[in-house]
Amino acid sequence: MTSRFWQRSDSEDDDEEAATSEEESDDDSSSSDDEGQQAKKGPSRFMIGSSDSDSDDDKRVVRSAKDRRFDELKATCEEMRNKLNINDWSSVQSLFDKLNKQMEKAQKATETLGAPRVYIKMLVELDDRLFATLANKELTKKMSPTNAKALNTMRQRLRKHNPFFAEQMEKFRAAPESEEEESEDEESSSSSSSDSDDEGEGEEGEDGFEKMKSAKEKKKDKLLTMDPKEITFEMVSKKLQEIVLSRGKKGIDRQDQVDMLTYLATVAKGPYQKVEVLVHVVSALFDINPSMSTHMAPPLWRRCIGVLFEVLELLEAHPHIILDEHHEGNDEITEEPEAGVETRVWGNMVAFLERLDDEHFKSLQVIDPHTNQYLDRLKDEPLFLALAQKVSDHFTRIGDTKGLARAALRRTEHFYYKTDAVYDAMRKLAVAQQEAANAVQEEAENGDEIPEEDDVVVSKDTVVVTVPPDFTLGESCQELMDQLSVIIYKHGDERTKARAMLCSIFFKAIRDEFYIARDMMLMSHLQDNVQHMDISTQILYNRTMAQLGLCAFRAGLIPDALAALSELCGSGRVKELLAQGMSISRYQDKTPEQEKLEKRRQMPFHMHINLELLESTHLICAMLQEVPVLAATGMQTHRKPLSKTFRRLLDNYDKQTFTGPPENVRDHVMASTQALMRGDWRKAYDYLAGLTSWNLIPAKEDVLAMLKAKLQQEGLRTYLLTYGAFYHSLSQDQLCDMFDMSEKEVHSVVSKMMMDEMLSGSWDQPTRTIVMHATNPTRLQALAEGFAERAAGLVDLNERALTLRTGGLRGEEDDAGPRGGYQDGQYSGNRGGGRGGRGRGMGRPMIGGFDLGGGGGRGGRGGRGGMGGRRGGYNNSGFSVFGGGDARFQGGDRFRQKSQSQQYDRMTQLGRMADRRQ
Amino acid sequence: MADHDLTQELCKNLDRHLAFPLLEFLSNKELYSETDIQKAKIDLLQKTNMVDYAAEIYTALYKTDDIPEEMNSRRKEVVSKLKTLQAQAESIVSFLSSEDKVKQLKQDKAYNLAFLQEEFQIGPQQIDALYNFAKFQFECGNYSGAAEFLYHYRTLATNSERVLSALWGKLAAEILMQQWETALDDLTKLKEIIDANTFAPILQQLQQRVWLMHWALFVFFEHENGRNAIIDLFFQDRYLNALQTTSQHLLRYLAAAVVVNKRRRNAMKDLIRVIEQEAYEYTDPITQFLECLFVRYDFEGAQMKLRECEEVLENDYFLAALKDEFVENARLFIFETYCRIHQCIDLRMLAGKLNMDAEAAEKWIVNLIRHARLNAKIDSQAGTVVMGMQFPSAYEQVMEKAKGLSQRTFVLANLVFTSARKAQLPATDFPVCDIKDQ
Repeated sequence: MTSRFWQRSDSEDDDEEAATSEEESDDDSSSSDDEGQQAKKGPSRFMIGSSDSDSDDDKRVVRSAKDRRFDELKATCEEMRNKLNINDWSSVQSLFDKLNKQMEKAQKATETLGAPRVYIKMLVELDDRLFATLANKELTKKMSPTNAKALNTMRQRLRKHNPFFAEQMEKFRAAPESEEEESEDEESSSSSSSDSDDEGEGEEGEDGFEKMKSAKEKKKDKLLTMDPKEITFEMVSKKLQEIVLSRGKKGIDRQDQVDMLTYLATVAKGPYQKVEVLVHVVSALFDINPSMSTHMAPPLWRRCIGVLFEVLELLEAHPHIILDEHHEGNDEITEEPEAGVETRVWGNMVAFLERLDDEHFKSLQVIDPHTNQYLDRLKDEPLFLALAQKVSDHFTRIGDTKGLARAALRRTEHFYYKTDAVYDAMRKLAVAQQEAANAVQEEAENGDEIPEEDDVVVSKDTVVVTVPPDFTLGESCQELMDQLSVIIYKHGDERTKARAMLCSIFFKAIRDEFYIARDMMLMSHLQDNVQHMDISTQILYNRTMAQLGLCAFRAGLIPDALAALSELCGSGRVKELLAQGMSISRYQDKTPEQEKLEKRRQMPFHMHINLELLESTHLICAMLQEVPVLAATGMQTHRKPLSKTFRRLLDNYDKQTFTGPPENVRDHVMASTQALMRGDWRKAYDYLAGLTSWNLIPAKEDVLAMLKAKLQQEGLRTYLLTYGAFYHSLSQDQLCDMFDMSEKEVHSVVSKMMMDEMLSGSWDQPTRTIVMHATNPTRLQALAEGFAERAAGLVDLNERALTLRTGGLRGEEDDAGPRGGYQDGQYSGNRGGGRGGRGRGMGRPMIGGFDLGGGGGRGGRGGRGGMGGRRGGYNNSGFSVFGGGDARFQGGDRFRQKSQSQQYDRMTQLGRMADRRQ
Repeated sequence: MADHDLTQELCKNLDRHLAFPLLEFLSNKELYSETDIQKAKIDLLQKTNMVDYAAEIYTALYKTDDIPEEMNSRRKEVVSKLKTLQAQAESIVSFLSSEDKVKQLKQDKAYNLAFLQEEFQIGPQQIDALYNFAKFQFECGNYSGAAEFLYHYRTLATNSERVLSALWGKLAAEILMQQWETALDDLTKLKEIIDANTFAPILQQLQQRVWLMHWALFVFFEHENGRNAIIDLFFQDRYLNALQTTSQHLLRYLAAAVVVNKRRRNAMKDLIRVIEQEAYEYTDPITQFLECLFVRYDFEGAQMKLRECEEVLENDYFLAALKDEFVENARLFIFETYCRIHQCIDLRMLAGKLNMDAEAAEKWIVNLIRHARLNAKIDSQAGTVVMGMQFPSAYEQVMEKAKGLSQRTFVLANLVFTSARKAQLPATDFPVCDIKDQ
C-alpha cells in the first residue's frame, strides 16, 4: 500500500507537496510521529529500489535507463527537500545515503564522472540548510535527541563529502538559474543566499575563535556562530549542562567537547560562570584519555595546567567563589551572582592536582628514559610545582587544611629524592623558563598584536604554558622540605604523615645525615606500621631503607648499613621491592593483572636507586662483618650467619673448581673476601676499588678511604684469629707494617679483641709484643668440652619442654633468678623476658617468621613480647608524637630502638608485599 | 673553660629557685663575668616574688640607689597579694599552727575533711587558699613555711593534679633547705606518682621524668646513698629513654656516679653502651674518657681526657665535691684495664700513665696487691710489674660448663614429679626422667 502511495507521489509533485504540508504539521506536533514515519519510509524506499531493479526495466534501452536513474535522483532530492523543510534530519540522513548510492549507480550507468546538476543543487541546498539550522539555536534545542544527533552526523558527513564537489557547488551558486524549474530554484537560492549571509556574519564575529580550531573541524554550533555579545548567561549554562550530561556517553567526540567548552569559557559571563566552565574543561581534558593504563598526552597535560592556573587566578580574584566537591549543579542560578555572595562551584582542586601528578608520573614511567622526550617531560616538573604551590596558597587562603596537607605531600614527593645539585638544576630551569616566557611576552607586547592576558596560548595542537612569573623555588631545598613536613604533620591524615615522614628520612639520608634519619625512622615507629599500609607507601619505605643503608655505609657505620640492607638485598627481589623493573619469578607466573599492577607501580627512571651500588654495598658490609666471625668460628657453626646471602654466595664460590677473574659485583666481593680471609687486605682493597659503581658516589675518595681503613682493621682481626694460634708471640711493629696501621690503631684493635676474649693473649709491654696463651686442647679435652656443652643443652631443652607443658615455670625461674651465673649470651637470647633477651632473641623469631612469608611481622612481635611490656607508656606513642609538628620528635623510646640494630630486620616489608601482590 | 658548662642546659629543666645555687656557684668560679651572672640573677628573680633581693642585686650591679619603677610597683603588688592570700588562708593556717588540733586529724582523708568542715568551718576553698598561700610563700623564698604548708595541703587535698604540683613544690623547698632525707622521700613519692600515671600524654610523661632527673641531681649528690640511687633511677628504662631522648647532658652525671661507685661496676657496661649510642648527640671529657678507655682502649687518650675531666668536674656544681674521688677511681679503672690485657708492664711507664712518680706508683701498686685487688708481682730488678695471669685450663672449663647441671636436673625432676603427682599425669611422658641417672 504505502509503496504505491509513495510511488505515485513520485510522479505527482503536486500531490506530494500537499502531503508534505500535512506532514509538516504532524512533525511539529511530536517527534514520535517522526519516527513512525521513518519506519514507514524504510520499506517504501526499499520498494522503490526493488521496483527499479525489475527485470522489465532492464529490457529497456540504455537511454531510458539513464533517464530512469536521473528520475530516481530527482525523486530522492525532492523527498529530501521535503524532509529538510520539516527539519527531519534523521530522514535526511538516510535519504542522503540513498542519494549517494543512486548517484553512484547513475554515474556507472551513464559512464560519466561529473555529477548531475540536480545532485549539486541538492548538495548546495543541504549545505545551506544545515548551517541555517545549526545557527538557529532555539530550533536545535527543541529537536529530539535522535534528530539532533542526526543533524550532527549530517554536518560531519557534509564536511567530508562536500570538498569533492566544491567547485561545482561554487559554480552552481554563481549561476543557479541555468536550468528549468526556475521558480523553485529562485526560492531556494534566495533562501540559501540569505542563509549564507547569516553564516558569514557569524563567522566574522567568531574570528577569535576560529583561530583556535583547525579549519578541518569547523564547528557549526549555533552558539559559535552567534555574536558573543548576544550570548546570555543562560545560554552558556544550558550548553554547559548539555555537555556535562553527554559526558561519558558513547560516540561523543571528546576533543570536540573540550573545544566547545574552551569556547564557552571565552564567552562565559562573569567569573562564576567562567570558573564553572573551566572546571569542566579540566575534567573534559582528563576524559580525553580513556584508559587508566595509558598516560595523558603532554600537550593536553600542559593545557590542563594552564586552565587550572586560570581557575586559580579567578578564584583568587573572586574569593566569594568556592570550589566544593560535593556540590551539585546550580540549576537555580540563572544570573551571574554578585560579588560578595558566597557561591559554590563543583570541583576539587586537590583531586585535579593529584590527577595531574599521577599523569606526569605515568608518562615518565612509559617514556624511554634515554630519549629527549623524557628530558622534555622532566622539564615540565617546575610547571607542576608552580601549580602545586599556587594550589597550596589557595588552600592557605581559604583555610582548607586537609587539601593543604595533600597538596603539600604531592610537593614533598617531588622534592624528597632530589640531591642539592639536582634541586639547583631544577631551580635554574624554572628561572630560565620564566625568563623565556617573559621574553616572549615582551615580544608580544612590542608587537602589540596579541593582547594576551593569560599564560595560555592556545594554538592548534601545541599549547604553551609557562611557569608563572611569581613562582620561585626557595634557595634551600631543606627549608622547603621542613615547611612542607610541618604542614603535613599538623594537618595530614595517617597515610600522608607516614609518607611525608618517609620522604623526610629519605631526604636526610641522601644528605648524609644518618643519625637524624635513623632517629626519625625509629621514633616514628614506621617499621611497626608499614605492613598495614598501601603498596606504594611500602615501596617508598623500601626505598628509604635502601638510602638509609647507603647513607650508613658512606658514614662508615657498617653494622647499621648491613642491618638496613640485608633484608632488602637478601630477598633476591630487590627490583620488585624498589619498583625498579619487573621481577622475573622462576616458580610462579603472574597473572596479567598482577603484571599490570606491578607495571603501574614502577618508579620513573630518574628516581631509581642504583641497584649495582646497592648490591655491592650490601655485600661489602656483609663481608666486613662476616669474615672475622668466620675466622673465629670456622665455617661449620650452628650460629646464625649475619648475612645468609653472603654465606650462600661464599659457599658457591668455594665450590667452584676454577675461578676466573672477577666480572660482576659478586665476583669482585667474593674475590676480595678470599683475599681478606688470608689477611691480604691490599688485594682485597684492589678488588673492591675496581668496582665501577663507586663513581656514583659523590664523595668517592672518602668512601674508598673509609673502606680501606675498615679492610685494614678487619684484615688484622682476621689474621690474628686465623693465624694467631700458630705463634707464640707477635711483634706489634710487624703487625703495623703488615696492615699499614699506626701503632695506636693496632693496639686498640688488639686490646679490644683481648678484652672481648676473642684472642687469648696479652701484651708484653716492655718488648712491645703480643704473647699468645693459646693452648690447643687435646682431643680428649675437646671432646669433654663438647660433651659438657651438649649436656647443658639437654638440660636446657628439658627445662623448656617442661615450661611448655606446665607453663609459667620458666617465668617464675626467671623472676626468682636462681641460676644467676648461667646467663651466657646464647642462652638468655631465647628468653625474651630477661634483660639479656634483647640481644639475640630479637633476631631469631623474626627470621622464623620471615620464612613463612606473610608472617614476618608477627614473628618479630613474638620475640619482643617481654620488651613491649616493659616499655609501658611509650609503647603506644606511635604517631601521636608528631602532633606538635615539632621538628624534633620527642618522646619516642629511642633508646630502646637504637640499642637494637636488629630492629631494622623488621623494617623491609617483604612478606607483606608478597601477600598483597596476590 | 666554659665549654663544658651545663648550667644553661640544666636550668631549662629546673625551677627558678633551684637555678639559684647554680648561679651562685658559677659566680664563685668566675667562669663568666660577674655582671652577666648578676643580670641573669635579676632575670630569674623578676618572675619570683623575691623583690627585695632583686632590688639588692640591682643596686649592687648598677651601683645606684635608684630602683626601677617596675620593681617598686611589683613590690607593692607582691605585698598586697601576700596580704589577701594570707587573709584567705588565715583560718586554716591558724588551725595548723596549733599542734593539738592537728593531732586530731586521722589517716582517713574523707573523715578529716568532714571533721574540718564541722569543727572549724574549713572547706575546700580554704584548702585551696592554703595551696595558693604556700605557693606564694615559696615564691617569696620562705621555703620552710612553704614546705610545711604543702605537707599539710597534701594530707587534705583531693585534687590529684594539685597534689602533684604540691609535691613538686615541696621537693623544691626541701632541696633549697637542704633537707636531703625528706627530699629523697619526696623524690620517691613523686617518682611513684609519675610512673603510675601512664595515661598522661607521652610528652608530658617525658617532661616530668626529665624534670625529676634534673631535680634529683641535687639530692643524689648530697645524700649519702644518692650515688646508688642515681644509678638505679637513671638506668630504669623509662628514665634512660627520657635521658636519651631529650637530655643527653645528664650522661655526665650518670657517668661520674658510675665511676665513683665502686660497688656498681657492672653498670659500666650499660653506661658504655649508652655513651656510644649518644656520642653523636653529646660528648664531654667525662664521656670521652670512658669511651677512650672502654671502647677504643686508647690509654693515652684516656689519660689526656682525665686531665680535662678534672677541670670540668671542678666547675660543675654537682660534681665539684666528687672530683678527687673521681680522679682516683678513674685512675684505678685505667690501671685495671691496662693490667687485664698486659702480662708485663714497665713500672716507669706506668707511673707516667698514672700521673705519679715511680716510687709513688710502686707504693700504690703494692697497696693494691696487698689488698688483694690485683694479682701481680713486682720485678724490682727489671722495674716491671708482672701480672699473675691465670688461664682456665681445659679441665676447669669443662667443670665450669658442667657446674650446676646436676642441680638443675634435680630441680627439674622434682618439679616434674610433683606436678605429675598433682595433675595425675603419667610422669613417663617426660624424657626428663632419664636425666636423673646422670
